[in-house]
Amino acid sequence: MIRFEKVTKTFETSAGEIQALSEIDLNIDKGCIFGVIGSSGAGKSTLVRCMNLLERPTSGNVYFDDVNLTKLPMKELRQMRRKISMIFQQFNLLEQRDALGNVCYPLEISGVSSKEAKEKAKELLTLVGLEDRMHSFPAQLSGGQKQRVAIARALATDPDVLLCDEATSALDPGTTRAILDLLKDINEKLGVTIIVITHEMKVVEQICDKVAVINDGVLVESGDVKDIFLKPQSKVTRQLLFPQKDDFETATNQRVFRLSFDGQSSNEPVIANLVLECQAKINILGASTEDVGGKAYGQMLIAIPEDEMKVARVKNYLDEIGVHAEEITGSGVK
Amino acid sequence: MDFGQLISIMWDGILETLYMTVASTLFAYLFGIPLGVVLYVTDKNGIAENRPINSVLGVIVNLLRSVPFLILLVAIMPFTRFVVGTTLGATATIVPLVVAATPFVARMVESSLKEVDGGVIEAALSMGSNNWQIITKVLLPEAKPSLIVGSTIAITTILGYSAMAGFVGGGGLGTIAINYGYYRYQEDIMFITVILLVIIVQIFQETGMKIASGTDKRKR
Repeated sequence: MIRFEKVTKTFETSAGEIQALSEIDLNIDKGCIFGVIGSSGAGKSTLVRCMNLLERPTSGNVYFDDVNLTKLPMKELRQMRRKISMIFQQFNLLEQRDALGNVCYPLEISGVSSKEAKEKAKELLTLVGLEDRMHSFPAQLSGGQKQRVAIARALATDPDVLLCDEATSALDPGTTRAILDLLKDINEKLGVTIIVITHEMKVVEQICDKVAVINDGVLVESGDVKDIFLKPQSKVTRQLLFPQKDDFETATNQRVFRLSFDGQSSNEPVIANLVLECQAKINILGASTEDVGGKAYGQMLIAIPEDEMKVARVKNYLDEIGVHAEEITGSGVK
Repeated sequence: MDFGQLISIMWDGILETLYMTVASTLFAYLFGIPLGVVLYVTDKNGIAENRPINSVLGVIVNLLRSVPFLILLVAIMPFTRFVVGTTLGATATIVPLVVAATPFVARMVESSLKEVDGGVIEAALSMGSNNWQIITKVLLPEAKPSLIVGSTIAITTILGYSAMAGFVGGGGLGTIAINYGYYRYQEDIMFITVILLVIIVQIFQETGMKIASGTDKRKR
């Protein structure tokens, strides 16, 4: 669907040249949800802007459905951009238009009659759950509602791809979850390929199929989310997985497990129960969990003393309560 | 001069002043909006960045703005005669008023457009808008409240200029103030014209601000 071929972008600034992207090769399959993760300043935003050529690569090629975008004349590129929609961290809605007017905008500029545009806009606003806020202006909407309007607007031209540039970074955890669920829904129902730019691992974890990690303008690693999570190859990825700790100094007589919390009750003292039930001295190496409406999400790294019996018991217990556990002893996390 | 005469002179003065001010403002915006838009879009990182055009226009605008109005008024008299056939009266004053106000209005428009969030323009570009669509459907509508505030400032400035034109027979309240108040030492008449000018400025200012806040959708 979208393919990068040795894409490099350099910015000329008063402080000298800045290499935002260096020779990025990337291939994004049709219909998937693709995450691009990196810390701030890693080049994520530049990367996503190279996909619709809001930023023109200094060298290299960007293909969309095998069409080389970098070679297209401006007029055809504008047509193409209607197939590659984009939503933003700051929503970027037209402040002087109401929700309906905002969703109509992309239709107006592509020559759709105002009556048809309005009908389509109403349908889309209903799809994103804002059927009762059609005539509200952005200033009267909450952050989550604004992003829903932006999503409806992005879908107006029936795009094949939806680029999300830190689309949930300005939202609270609950709203983030709801917006991500909506994106997942759109991906499944409409078959839109979604590219998610984020600095938060939990966003990737929640909706992405594949992920690319970038750091300092370089593609560090990419692949299935599961693989990257279980066997992070680089220090950068480990840092993103556990922002508070980059390297785990574990003794050799320990076994390390990664627990994934995916909506279990947050009221239940899982770790305490684990210790009591299994009589195991559990050490928490790192955790990145969050309580969203009484449910726990995120992951935790624990170490269990080397003891077949106890390890088996722990595994059984976690299985019983439905917490997914993967052993990652010696698999990259040292 | 009896009271009836005074009223009649003042009434004519008010009408002439309003005619000059409003007509000049309209013409100044007719030329100033396109000029302001061009200044904005050709600026660095603008949607149609063009350094040569931007610098040339910028220099012309700054030159015109630095000439004091009274000097400009006299200096372009041949041009005024060429356009309207005379250099006396209200209609003749409109020409130098437009010449003086257009660059001022252009800068006001430019600064209003600069207030539009760059992210919104980026979003419009990402949806495949061309430059004309961005100007007419994004920049100008989004800047509308600020443009209206700017126009109330412009109209009061132009009103002030129009009174200055009284020195060279420009018509309106300015001429009355000069002829009666200055040349004939009738200070009471000068005083009345000043009061009338203050009232007109107040009305323009209040109305402009009301319209601006009434049209702004960013509130509430």
